[in-house]
Amino acid sequence: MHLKTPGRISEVLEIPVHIRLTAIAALMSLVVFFLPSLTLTLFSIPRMNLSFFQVLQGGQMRLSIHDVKYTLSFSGALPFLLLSLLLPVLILLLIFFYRKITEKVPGRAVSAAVLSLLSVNLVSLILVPTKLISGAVLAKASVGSSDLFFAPQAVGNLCILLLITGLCAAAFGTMGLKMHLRMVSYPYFLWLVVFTVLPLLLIFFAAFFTKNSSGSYVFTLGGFQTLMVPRVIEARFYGLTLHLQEYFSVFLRSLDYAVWTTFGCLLVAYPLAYALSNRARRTHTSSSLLLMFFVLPMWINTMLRTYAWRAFFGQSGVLNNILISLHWIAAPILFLKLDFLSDFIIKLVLVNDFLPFMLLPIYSVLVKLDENVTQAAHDLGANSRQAFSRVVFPLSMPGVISGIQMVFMPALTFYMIPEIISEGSVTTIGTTVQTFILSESVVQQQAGNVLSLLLLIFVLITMGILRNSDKDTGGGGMIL
Amino acid sequence: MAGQSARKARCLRRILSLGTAMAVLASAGLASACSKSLEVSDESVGQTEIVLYNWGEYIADDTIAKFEAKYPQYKIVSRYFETNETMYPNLSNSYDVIIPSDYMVCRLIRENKLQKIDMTQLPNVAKNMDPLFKDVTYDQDKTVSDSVLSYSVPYMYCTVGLVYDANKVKIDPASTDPKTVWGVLFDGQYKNQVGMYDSMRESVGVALNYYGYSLNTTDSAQLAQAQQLLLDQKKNMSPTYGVDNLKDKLASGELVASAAWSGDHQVILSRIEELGNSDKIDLKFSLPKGSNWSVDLMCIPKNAKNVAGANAFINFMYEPEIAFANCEYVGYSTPNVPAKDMLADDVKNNRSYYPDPDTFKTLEIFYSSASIEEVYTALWNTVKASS
Amino acid sequence: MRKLRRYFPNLYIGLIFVFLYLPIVVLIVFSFNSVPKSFIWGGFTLDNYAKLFSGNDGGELLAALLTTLRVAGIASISSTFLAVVSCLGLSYFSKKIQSLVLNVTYIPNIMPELVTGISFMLLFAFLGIQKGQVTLVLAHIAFCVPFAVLSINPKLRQLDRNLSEAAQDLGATQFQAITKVILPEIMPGIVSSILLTFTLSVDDYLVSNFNVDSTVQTLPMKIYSMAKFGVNPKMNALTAIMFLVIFLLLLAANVRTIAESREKKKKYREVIRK
Repeated sequence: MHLKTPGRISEVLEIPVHIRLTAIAALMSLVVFFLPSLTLTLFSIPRMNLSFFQVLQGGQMRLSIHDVKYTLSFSGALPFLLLSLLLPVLILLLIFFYRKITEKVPGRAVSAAVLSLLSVNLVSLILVPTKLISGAVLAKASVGSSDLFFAPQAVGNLCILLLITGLCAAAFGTMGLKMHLRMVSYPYFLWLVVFTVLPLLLIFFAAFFTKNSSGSYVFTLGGFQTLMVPRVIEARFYGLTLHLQEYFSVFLRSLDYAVWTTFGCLLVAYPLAYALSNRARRTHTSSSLLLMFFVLPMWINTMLRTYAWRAFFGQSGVLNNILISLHWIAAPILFLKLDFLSDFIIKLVLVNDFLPFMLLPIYSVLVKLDENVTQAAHDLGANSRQAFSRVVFPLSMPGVISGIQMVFMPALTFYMIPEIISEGSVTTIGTTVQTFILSESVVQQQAGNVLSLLLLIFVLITMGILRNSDKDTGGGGMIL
Repeated sequence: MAGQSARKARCLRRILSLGTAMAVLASAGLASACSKSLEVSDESVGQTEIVLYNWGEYIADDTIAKFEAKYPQYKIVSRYFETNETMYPNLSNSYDVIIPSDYMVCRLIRENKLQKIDMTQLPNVAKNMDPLFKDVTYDQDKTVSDSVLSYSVPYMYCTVGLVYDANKVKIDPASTDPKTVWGVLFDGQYKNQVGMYDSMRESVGVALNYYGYSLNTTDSAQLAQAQQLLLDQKKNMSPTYGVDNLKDKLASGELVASAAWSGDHQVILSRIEELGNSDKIDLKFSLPKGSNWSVDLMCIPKNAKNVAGANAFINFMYEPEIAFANCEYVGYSTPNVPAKDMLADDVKNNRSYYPDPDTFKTLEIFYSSASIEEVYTALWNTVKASS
Repeated sequence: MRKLRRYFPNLYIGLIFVFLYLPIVVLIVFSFNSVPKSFIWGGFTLDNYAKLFSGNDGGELLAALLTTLRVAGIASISSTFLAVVSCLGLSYFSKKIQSLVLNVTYIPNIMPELVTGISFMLLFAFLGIQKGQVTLVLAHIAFCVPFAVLSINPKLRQLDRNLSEAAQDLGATQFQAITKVILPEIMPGIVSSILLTFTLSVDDYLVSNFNVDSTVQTLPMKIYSMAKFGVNPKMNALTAIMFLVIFLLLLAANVRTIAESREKKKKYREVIRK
């Protein structure tokens, strides 16, 4: 949606939004003053409580850090404390009474005054703990001075956010900028850069650079070398014994699982989605309830479900017990040990886990399909099969593509299922990345980053191929 | 006019809502301020705390109560960890007594994180500790190894050996020859029925022990041999890799043999009884020469606050009745000589739990160093990756 | 033959239903297990339910559950809020910038969770934030936001462009136009976003694994770490309870739809009879 007229906020008789924000920020810093452990600079030390209200109550301040008790003198911090108390009051008075007195909207000058007052307030709140808690106390409690400036509680973090927003609003008012609704998304751009772009760059960086003993970063291909090490292992695929490089064989096995999982999911989910959407259209309900029941298993923890499968197929598991008690077999079938069977069962469980992810996109596309299209195809002489293969199936492609996207890559890297079912016998690429990243050795960590980078590139290539075969790139078909 | 009054009403409402918000926050703050101030100014009279950092389920239920009854001036606070690796980063918090494993103790000594224990404060230790422990090599660095007993006191130890169902696996129960004992795990006739620890050091150690090599070797030829053995085992025997799930499978009869810790033998025996398989499975434990043993030691970190209390506690743990109770509960082997004498005959005479001095001298502790870790991890990963 | 064909779709649906719910049935059956290891049957007992949160293991279970719920709640609400606010703001930009921003947003969607988790780990190390509660919550919010945007943006796009204009012409302020007109219209998107992000956050293991320290454990992490020591049947009991709760919520949420469809079927039959 692209709105035609730019959104202008302030109206002549109303207090501008940014002034309101500043007022809230000032109010917050006033309230925060009285709340224990909630001053702007919040203490990350456990079991440490400090309230300036208490300081005003008693003449002394007793405080314990890590069970060691200290008595603090606050005489040195008193001026800053008083400042932290007075400044918010001043700001609030200024904002609320300016309009009353002058009949004008608070403009740039007021914003500038408020900005400076807020900044001084912030500084004084920061200086208080550093004056209150001396270096000696910190050293004895083996706490760093940087520990004083980190908010441990969620509410504290919200307060800080609010205070920063207030500062920005005041700065904004000073500069006399017009508030446009666009600005709301600027924080989001920042978020995107920090949490999407930056991590990717960091992976790229970490794949090529490591920290050496003196703390500086050096370019090294150690990670690549670890991955390309010419260790050959035996790997059994479908009865053939292949001799492959170690990590390549692991990758191949993961790829094998991912491809079969995707294919299996598609095979199972498509008819299901088709049947469900037909049913929905026939009974003229949205049939979302039945769909919900197919999605409900997603809520049950994946790993518990995997354990349940293992219990089902295990040597002394449910299936074997049932088969033996029915006298169909004499001894338990080693489902999880025999080559082909265990391979098949791992893929079965993977399909079981990823089925809803394939089902939803295909269903949501099929259900929105206009009935008249199939009708028209029939009218033009197509039989059922042709109507399906030439009309319905191509139209459902966006859903299929979306489903493949949601299944293929996760199945490649979701290492827990093969690991649980095979009880540690099978190593997939995900396990390898996990052991690398969490190992103590720097070279192995780098190898893990290299592997992540390679996986990332692999994803981008696969997605690129898929995207090209489907022109529609508007938001995926997964919405319920 | 109407507009103005509407606006005034709105303004009033806004001020009211702001005011209530402020009041709510402030009252919440005051309420917590009052309760928190109590916390700050509350100083417990007389009693001092001892903070104990221990493995889960590694001390008898009533030991702590007995200690507090005997020493009312101390109160014990227990914290638990699951592995040495998860314990290590938490040591920045202050604990008074910690009970890490051998290699972790060596690492802490190297990093200067432990304080020397004043052995004069621990008369029970001097009296009751098995002198075998004085001759042990705890680390490849001799200075560290020699200093281990000045920084720590052994608590419990265990050995790694073979558990097997004597009804199905026919080997000489008195044999301590690694090839005979470990051979069961590599013998094709027990295909699909053996278990190996899903742990790098233990499993590689079994393979090295089979050939009679040191469990801490970095000789590439020896390691290659061990690797080949493990690879062949994986291909031909399809062992089950696991840690705790192995116990259940041994108890149910799914597995007939597995590498195991001595302490686990008792656990599996009781589980066999629970499942009612005692007549079907005759589980024995065999300890070959040169196998692994490991010990957990009580030590006092450098940043401990209550050293006197820590000493009192460690000394108390070495009282024979207490050590006996702990040993019964945990199931591992105790280094406390009188406590060992109190055990049932079939336990204390079991040479796999309490190896005779000659066998004991052949046992090795796993040394930990970056180079060893790297080589062994690579080896183990290759074994896991192949099929 | 025709009858079979008519019933075949339902048969197939039923078959897949059984397939999907088989592990859940096994789970629930074993939640009544009296042996402390989850999947070796010892005998029937209701103990696991009665003593769900007591004892050492029960206490840990409760702590992990609360952590998971708390983190999921914060993540779903924060990410939905962030998505709503940013989609609204985004709609004022040109098409080019919109599609660029959306493409960047959707990158974590296609990235495997493993890589996402690792990338956040590197990020927090880079920013100097120590792993712990904070990083856990931030990481969850971060990987939920793309899914929230995915749910809300299409709804916003479907909105009639002129709706907000019309509201403002009728005297609403910008703010009122947003809260009273646009928000109610995209409410279904908001609801599905909250549900989606909550689900993803509750079941997440990979991202959590790389972004916590030893003091914090979420429920999936706890369950996975029980792998080596045997899953506690209390886990099964907890899962069974959660399943029941969600099942009932689902029914309650759809009670209206069920009633409606019953009425429709009734009317349909009446019409056919006539």
